[in-house]
Amino acid sequence: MRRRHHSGRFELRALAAAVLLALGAQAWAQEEQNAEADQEAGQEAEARDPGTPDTSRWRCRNCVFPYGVTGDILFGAGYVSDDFFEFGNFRGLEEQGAFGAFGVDLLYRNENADYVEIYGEKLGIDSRTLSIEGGRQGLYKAWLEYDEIPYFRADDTRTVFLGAGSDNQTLPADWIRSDTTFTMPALEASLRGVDIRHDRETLRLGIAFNRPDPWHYSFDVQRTVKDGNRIKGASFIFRAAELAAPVDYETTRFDARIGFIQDRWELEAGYNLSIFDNRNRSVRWENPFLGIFGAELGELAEAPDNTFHQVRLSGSWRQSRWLSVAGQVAVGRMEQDERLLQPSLNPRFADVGLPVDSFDGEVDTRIANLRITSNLTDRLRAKLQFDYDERDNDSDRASFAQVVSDTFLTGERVNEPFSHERKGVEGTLDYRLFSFLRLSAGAEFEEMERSLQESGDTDTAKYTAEARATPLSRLNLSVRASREDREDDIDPALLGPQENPDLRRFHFAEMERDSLRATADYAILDNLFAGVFFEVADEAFEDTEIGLSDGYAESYGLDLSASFSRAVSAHAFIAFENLEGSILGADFIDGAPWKAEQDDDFTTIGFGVNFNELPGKWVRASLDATYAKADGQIRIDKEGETAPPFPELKTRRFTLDAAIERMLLDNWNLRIGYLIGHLTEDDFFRDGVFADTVPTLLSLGEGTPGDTVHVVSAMLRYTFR
Amino acid sequence: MVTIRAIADLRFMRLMLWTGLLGSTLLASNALLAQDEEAEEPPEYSRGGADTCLRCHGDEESAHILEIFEGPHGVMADQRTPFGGTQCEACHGPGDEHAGRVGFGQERPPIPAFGANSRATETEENEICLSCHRGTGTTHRFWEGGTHERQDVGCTDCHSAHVRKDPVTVASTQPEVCFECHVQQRAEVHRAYAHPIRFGEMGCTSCHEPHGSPSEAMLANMNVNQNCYECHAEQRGPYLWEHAPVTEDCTLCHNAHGSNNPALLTRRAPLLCQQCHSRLGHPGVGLTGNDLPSGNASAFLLSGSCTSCHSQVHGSNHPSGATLNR
Repeated sequence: MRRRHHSGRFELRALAAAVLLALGAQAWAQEEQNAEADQEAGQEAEARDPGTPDTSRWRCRNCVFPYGVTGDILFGAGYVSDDFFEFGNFRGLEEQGAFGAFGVDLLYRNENADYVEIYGEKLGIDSRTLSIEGGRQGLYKAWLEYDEIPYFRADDTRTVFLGAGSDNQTLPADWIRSDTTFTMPALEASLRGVDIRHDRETLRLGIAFNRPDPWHYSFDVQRTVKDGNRIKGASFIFRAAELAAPVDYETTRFDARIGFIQDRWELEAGYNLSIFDNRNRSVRWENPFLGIFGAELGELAEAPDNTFHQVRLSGSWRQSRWLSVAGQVAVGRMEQDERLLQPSLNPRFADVGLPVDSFDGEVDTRIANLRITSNLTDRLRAKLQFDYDERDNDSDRASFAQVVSDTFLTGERVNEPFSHERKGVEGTLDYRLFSFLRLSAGAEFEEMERSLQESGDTDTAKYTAEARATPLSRLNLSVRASREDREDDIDPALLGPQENPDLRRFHFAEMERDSLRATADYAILDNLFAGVFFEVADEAFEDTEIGLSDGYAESYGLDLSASFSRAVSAHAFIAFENLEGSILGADFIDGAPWKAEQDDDFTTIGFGVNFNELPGKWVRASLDATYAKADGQIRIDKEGETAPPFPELKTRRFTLDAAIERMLLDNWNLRIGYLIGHLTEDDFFRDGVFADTVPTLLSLGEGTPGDTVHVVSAMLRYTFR
Repeated sequence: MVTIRAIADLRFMRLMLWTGLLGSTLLASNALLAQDEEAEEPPEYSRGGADTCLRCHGDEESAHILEIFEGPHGVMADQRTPFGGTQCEACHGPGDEHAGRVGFGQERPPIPAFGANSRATETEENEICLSCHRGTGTTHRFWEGGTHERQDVGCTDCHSAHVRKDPVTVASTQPEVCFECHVQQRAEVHRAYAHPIRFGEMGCTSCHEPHGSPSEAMLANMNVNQNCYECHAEQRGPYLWEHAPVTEDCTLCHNAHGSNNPALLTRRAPLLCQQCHSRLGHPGVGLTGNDLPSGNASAFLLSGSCTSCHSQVHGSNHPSGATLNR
């Protein structure tokens, strides 16, 4: 850490916070005396109290414990009307045709509290999840879980590279290199389709013991495999190609905990280990453009194998309802020591050496927080919280020759292992002024120190005021306002000679942020509820002449829910959001100044209805519909340049999911489902950008989706009773 | 624009002094206002336990109540559960008065807790749940003082005890429970690019610990980045060439609840990058409509924009990767 001149102020604040606590403690001591007196009175009363009742005559004869197997299984089939890749994202069902539809929700339990529970959803498609848990309730349990999440990004993408999706991507034998994509003679003939997708599969196994009191233990192992590809830019000097780069990751996580529990306090110690294994060390690709200085082969480093260990201790102590303390401390280490790649694959730079064979990366993390809560009186409550978060990057530093884009050698660069340390203190007072009105006030202070950046220290103060009221028995209101100020110690000289000296990076620039949130919940009738919310936040970076200068967010909405007996319930909502931001820049530092504004508007509308009872043999039905609309506008005003506006970014999505179920026989139901999905997007960053659209970019040609798909399904439900 | 600049003029010491004085004053006023509560007769338990309750609550109309016998609360052999102890009255409180005879025209006294018109406060009802659920291997230990507790959220606002499987414990049904209050987040997860919450593939508890975790935003892990690394361990590094904001806070560039931009980015590149980079040369150039395919189609703007070349934005392990393009 470079500078610490603000830390004195921070500690002063922490001290002041402690004084507040001491004030509270004095009050608390008074109340505690009263509480003790009450407790004594209570103990006397307890002697008269039935306390533990005489349950010897409690037979629970009418209790219907369903020992054996209960629950249901669903099986059947469905049909997807059209191929629609993006519809399948996170869902499956991306291809036209039939699919198996299966689900399970079974529970076996016996009178000794032994149980096995099997739960599965969407078992016939790529987004399936299945879990099995069993044990003796109250003593131990073990679980096995499997989960799959598909990611479908694009199926209109095309590449010229052979071995797309692998770690070695070559050009066709008849490929003729050229300066631009406009003049690549073999381009069109060489393009082959490649889908951009990957799957995430997770298998989890665990066991937990709740005995002997007061100990509890748990062990959990999880293995996640992510397999497929993703889009990755690969460049030589000012010329780039988009690759379908491989994704072949495996992450293994181990978690062990041991806890000790008493009436008033509990403590848990845990150890967490996470091992990331990337099957690919790098991706090599042949330069489809004419390489400068023999740059014909490039290599991108893949994410290195890494390991993370962490020991975590957490606990709480409840002295009484007047005082409770909770906190956690975690000490961890992130490591990687992957063997380094060659500085360049260009034979011209074969003699450029490495200062080390592998990077001895090591980051220590130290995180702690402590929360003290006190009910100073029946009406007054205080909370004090301390936070500490440190990332101490202890990785080796060395000087590396830079072969830029495998094309030319520049000066050496020393790697910069970034560290930071965050300290925070927060105090809040809640006061119940009347039975229907509660007021809160809070103050938070945070100091952040960073190494190797132009700002070594930022101080942030945030003040919050809140009122919550129930002026009518059916009406709840709340208003919360906050003000946040951040100061920095930016030294523009540390930005470097090539950076614009007026640049202020937004995450440590001086900033003022105001926010207001108001909500109201009203029970219009006993079974009809309405809620409205409004939230606005305004950020101003007064000191910023280059960089993010303003940010604004506004949202408001209405929620309705109704229940008509237990048989029918319904809900509806509408929400509007607006996000804005202004960025200031200047071409080549002292060239044409420009101002860009991004403005995103969202509208989300939804409604749903559930019927848990229906006439005749119809058993239940449900319908859920959501419409989401997003519009994005980017405007840029640049001095001395007249340009057409950017087209609007648009997303429209409508989803309706309906199901109805009818009893066929005693234990057999038929469930008929219908799902319609409609998605369209306009995105000028991608639309109309094909392999040869941009002279210096060999694009994959990913376009935007636009289609509607219908899915019908019929399943039989067998219920175990 | 809403301004509350007056608040900003307060400095910490002054605030603390005033809050201290205010606290003392309120304490005194509270003592004056407090009225002695009349000592009440401790309530009696019913004579027959659940059998007494089920005389009225065991019919077809009460089928939803009886589902408790299929769930984890209705397990006699587990002494920790209500039915391993004082049955219905373990949670609802001694019910003799409620179950007793009521004169003609007289209103039946309410059950002490978790019933219509029950006298127990939210805090008292929560305490009933916590008396068993503290130390059950989860993070209930953090409940007191947590955001939800301070906002008077009751356990039963989220949890259902009389069910075979509590919807808030299943990833696909959990978000709807959370969205009953967090209506803004419901809209956010429907944005064009979002985590698969609306598909039922992730629950809110994949990232958040709603029982009052002292971590920022009640995160399940110790901080934001650790939370993200749970699923995105490939970004953890440490890399040879780090990108400073990436090591600090993923949310500087990504909006975890959803965004109008691919990869849940807060803005589109190149503007996203130009918030922090305005170097001599191409990084600082303002790209306009002239850089669209209708004009001079620019690789600095279209498709991946900056990331078409600087694709290693999360860090690079290549010795020549200082500019994050290898």
